[in-house]
Formats: sequence, structure tokens, C-alpha cells
Amino acid sequence: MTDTTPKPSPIYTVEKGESLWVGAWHRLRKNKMALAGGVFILLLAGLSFMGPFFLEGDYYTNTVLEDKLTAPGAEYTLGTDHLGRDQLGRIIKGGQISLLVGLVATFVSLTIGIGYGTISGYFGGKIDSVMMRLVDILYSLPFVIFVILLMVFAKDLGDSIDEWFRERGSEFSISGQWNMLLLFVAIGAVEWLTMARIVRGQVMSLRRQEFIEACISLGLPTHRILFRHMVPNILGPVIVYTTLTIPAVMLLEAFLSFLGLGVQPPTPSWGLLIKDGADRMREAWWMLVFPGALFAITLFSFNFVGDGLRDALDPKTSKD
Amino acid sequence: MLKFILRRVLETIPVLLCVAAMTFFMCRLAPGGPFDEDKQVTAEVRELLNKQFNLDQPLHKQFIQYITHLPTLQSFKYPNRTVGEIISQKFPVSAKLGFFAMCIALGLGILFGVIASLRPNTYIDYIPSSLAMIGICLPTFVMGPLLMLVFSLKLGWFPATGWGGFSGEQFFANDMVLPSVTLGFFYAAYISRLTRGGMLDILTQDYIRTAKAKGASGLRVILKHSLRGGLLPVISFMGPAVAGLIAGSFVIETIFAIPGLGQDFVKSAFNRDYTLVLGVVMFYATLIILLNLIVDILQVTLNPKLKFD
Repeated sequence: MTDTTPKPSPIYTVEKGESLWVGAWHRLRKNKMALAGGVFILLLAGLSFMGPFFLEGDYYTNTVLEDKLTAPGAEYTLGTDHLGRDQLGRIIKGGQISLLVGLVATFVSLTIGIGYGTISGYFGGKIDSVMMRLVDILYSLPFVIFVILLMVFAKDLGDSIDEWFRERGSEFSISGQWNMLLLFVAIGAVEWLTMARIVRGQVMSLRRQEFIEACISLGLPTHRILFRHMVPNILGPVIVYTTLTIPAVMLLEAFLSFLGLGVQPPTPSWGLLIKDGADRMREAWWMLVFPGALFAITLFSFNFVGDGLRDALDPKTSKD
Repeated sequence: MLKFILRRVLETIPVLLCVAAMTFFMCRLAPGGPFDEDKQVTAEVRELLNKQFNLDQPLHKQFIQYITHLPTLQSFKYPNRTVGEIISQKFPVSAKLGFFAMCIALGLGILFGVIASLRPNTYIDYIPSSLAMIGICLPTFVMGPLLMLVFSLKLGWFPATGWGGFSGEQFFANDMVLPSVTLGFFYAAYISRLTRGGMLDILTQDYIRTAKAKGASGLRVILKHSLRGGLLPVISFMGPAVAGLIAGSFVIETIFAIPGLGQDFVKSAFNRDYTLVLGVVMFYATLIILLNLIVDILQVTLNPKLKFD
């Protein structure tokens, strides 16, 4: 093929097209709320994961009983809890745990959702209708109830696994992280349904486009078509929905921790701190207000970033 | 339509069986048992107890017995009371809480959503819309204690805990206000967002312009012509909302010390009260599936573009 691009004449400058991502970035930059949310999340992540380097090793368990329920002041910026633990340190550690659960469980649900949705949408027909009917049915189940049951009944399973390894002379121990692992799996297993639906819809519309037909007629293996050519093209909606899943996951984690089913003390998560605060709000309002406000602002930020990304990546479906 | 309902109801049976099997085996294969906490129990007593509750029989036999006799089975933690009795005593409390919350959610949500949609991107829109955003991001377990702190501990307007006053018999008492508002606020916020979006779509349609051109009053255009279409997103949200309300009631009942079914469920799971756990799960699952069916039927009735397939 010959080069058919017209040479730019000296008088007119050539209009350069914007790629989807560059255009999206330009639109996102104009959305002040989304930007502020993004900055807040970055700051929060920085504080939660870098902060501990500047604190002492036991910053979130150090108990000073004489100082219990101290109001916020010079010595303790955010006050202390009922055991005299520094509230700031607890919030930092709690943020670590909450963000970690949010990210990992979202990743789990993302993987399941993308895999399921891609397969269902690509093969279509009978496979698709069976797979989607299953999603419909799962949608109508009381999933939170199952998560609660799973968290209660599988709680002691970590100890049993340790026991099993010990009998075989192995030092391997899982019970310390067991509850976190369980949270990742339980929450990830619940939140993938919507993602699967979104991915399926995208794949179905891609499936009919020429470049995919070209791939098929070239004889590319199915897995290569799916994961090299399909998945990168559905990234936009997936990214948007991911930013909206993270707050949903964090909410579920906090909900479970609030009911005493999530992260186990003395390790704090924001849900647990809110629970402690709610129990003692008569004496110590700061135990409830600070973690509660921080949690709400974090959810706020994630939602704004998600909404902003949706408007930026798909200008047609923006809300108004 | 009858065929549609019949098919959905038939489909429900295997689903409920799966739910029952999952719950039962998850309970029974996990370590621990209902009598673990009673330390004094000797081996013989334990054996007797196991016999009384049929725990000594093979699992599949127990499962069959469980699903065929569920409402009449005894609770492990409250002997002499059957699962059916406990549910029928506790559920009305939770249902009332859910009902009040839903009334608040629909009333406030639709009102705010419609108001916001009439003048998009003005202050009349921004104020309800940002209120909605706050409502969505403030989880019930933050909102509940905060409301309690302000309105019952500081201002003393409402009691902090309880349900239905001393007698528990009144239809409405002022201790029901805070729990219902807490539970309803999130859904009010969500519904107002959905209403706003739906109404914005509808209000730009040609038939609305026609209605206005014919001289229909503003109120009539909203109530008669727009709401039916504008509320479609709200109707389809009602299915998941019901499931969410049930989960929300677990938290609300814990915070405000309300003697409802949600609190019992969490407790029964901790207590390994196998019969009660299975009973409550099956009850909620049936309820959610049933309400989803009703929502689906409503959706098709209101939206002429959909058909029962």
C-alpha cells in the first residue's frame, strides 16, 4: 500500500485525533469532584501504607490504660480508645486493612466476572442462556446471608488446617491470615455477578465486529482471540465498574466487621473501629466520628472517581 | 402471564433445594457443634442430646428430615420452641421496620428525585442530588449511631433503643422513628438518584412536549405522563433493594436493640443452632425470590416495551 496521507500544507495545521484514553483524561481533568476524590484516595493510600514506617512497631496495639478514652488533644491527635490505644494509629492500620480487602476482593471478583462474562458472551447461544440464567438465579439469592454463614462456620477451619499440617510435621500456619483469606474469597465470590453481566454485554457487541471475524477466519485459537483481542477492548467499562466495586466491597467488609464477623481484633479495620465507637459513643464521640467520617469520605471519593471515569470514558451515557 | 408465573415458581423449587443443601452442609461440615459451649455436659448427656436432636443419624437422613419438617423442628438454643414459632413471632417486627423504611425511602426518594429532575443543573437539582450522594456513602452502621448520638443522647427527642414502647403492642411509637429513618435513608438516596435519571430521560421525550402543547398542567404532566416511565429504574431496583433491606435490618436491629428476626439469625449462626439457621435462611430466600417475582411482574405491567417471555 502506498502512503495516502496528504502532506500538511504550510497554511493549515493538521488536526490530530485524540485516542480514547487521551480524550478521556482531558474530560476527567475537567471533573473537579472526580479529581479531588482521586487525590484523596492517593493521599489515604499513602498515609495508610507509608505512615507505619514513621510509627513504632506496635502503634495500633500499644495499650496505655491510664490514658484510656482521652479526648483528642495535643498528646493524642485523634484521642484514644477504651483500652488507651492511639486512635490515629488504629485508623491508619484500619485503613490498610480496609483498602487491602477492598483491592484484593475486587480483584477476585474482577477475575471471575471477566472470565465468566467473556466466555458467556463469546460463545452465545445455549451456553450463554444457561450461564446467564444462573447469574439471574444467583442475583435473587440472599447472598449476604451466605457470606455471614461462611464467615461464621469457616472461622475455625483455619485452626483445623494448621492442625492437619502439624500432624504431618510441617510448620506451615494459616490461621493468622485465615480470616482475611476468607474475607477475600467470600466477598469476591459475591460481587462478580454484575461484572459478568457488563463484560458479557460488551463481548456480545464486539463479537459481531469485523476485526474479530478476521481473527476467526485467520484461524487464531479461541483463547488468543478472547484474551488478546477481546479483553483489551472491554477495559473501559471494566475499569469504571471496578472503581465502583471497590467501595461496595469495602462496605461489605465493614458490615461484616461491624457484626463481628470480619477482621478479628486486635487488628482493626474501619468497620471494627466504627463498631467500637458505636458501643462507646456516650463517653467518647471521637471513637465513632473520626473513623465513620473517614470511611464515608473514602466511599464518597471512590464513587466520584467511578462516576467521573464513566462520564469520561463513555461521553454518550453520561448521566445528564 | 400465568404461564410466566408458573414457570418462575417451578424454577424456584430446585433453587430453594440448592439453597437448603448449601446451608445445611456448610453448617454441618464446619467444625464445632451446638453443645460445644456447655462445658459441663458429660459424654452420656451429650449422646442423649445428640439422640434427641437426631444428630446421631447419617447426614443425608438428617437433611431429608430437616427439609421435610423444617417449621416444626425444635430450636437447639431455645428448646420447646419450634423454628416456625420463632420466625412467626420475630418476623413481624422486622417486616414492620422494613415497611416503614421502604415508605420513607419511596416517599422521600421519589419526591426529591422528581424535584431534582425538573430543573437539572441548578441549585434545585444540586441540593437534593448532593444529599442523595451523602445518603449513599454514609453506611447504615455509621448513620445509625450518629443519629442516635444527636437525636436521642444530645437532644433527647427519641428513645435510643427499643421497639414499640413498653408494651411492644402499639402500631407506631416514637422509638420506631430513628431505626426506620436510618434504614430508609440509604434507599431514599438511591431511589432519588434513579428517579432523577429516569425522569430526565422521559422529560425530553416528544410525547411530553405534546402533552404540554395540549395544555396539560405541569403537575398533570408529571403525575400522569412522566412518572410511569420515569419510575421504571426504581421498580427494577426494588428487587435488590428488598434483599438489601433484610441485610440492613441485621445491623439496625443490633444498633437499636430491636427484637427482630435479623438479630436472631446472626445469633443462631454463632450458636450453631442448625435448625433455626436453616429455617431463617429458607424463609428469607423464599421471601426474596417471591418479591423478585412480584417486581418482575410489575415491571412488565408498567413498561409496554417488555413482554413476559
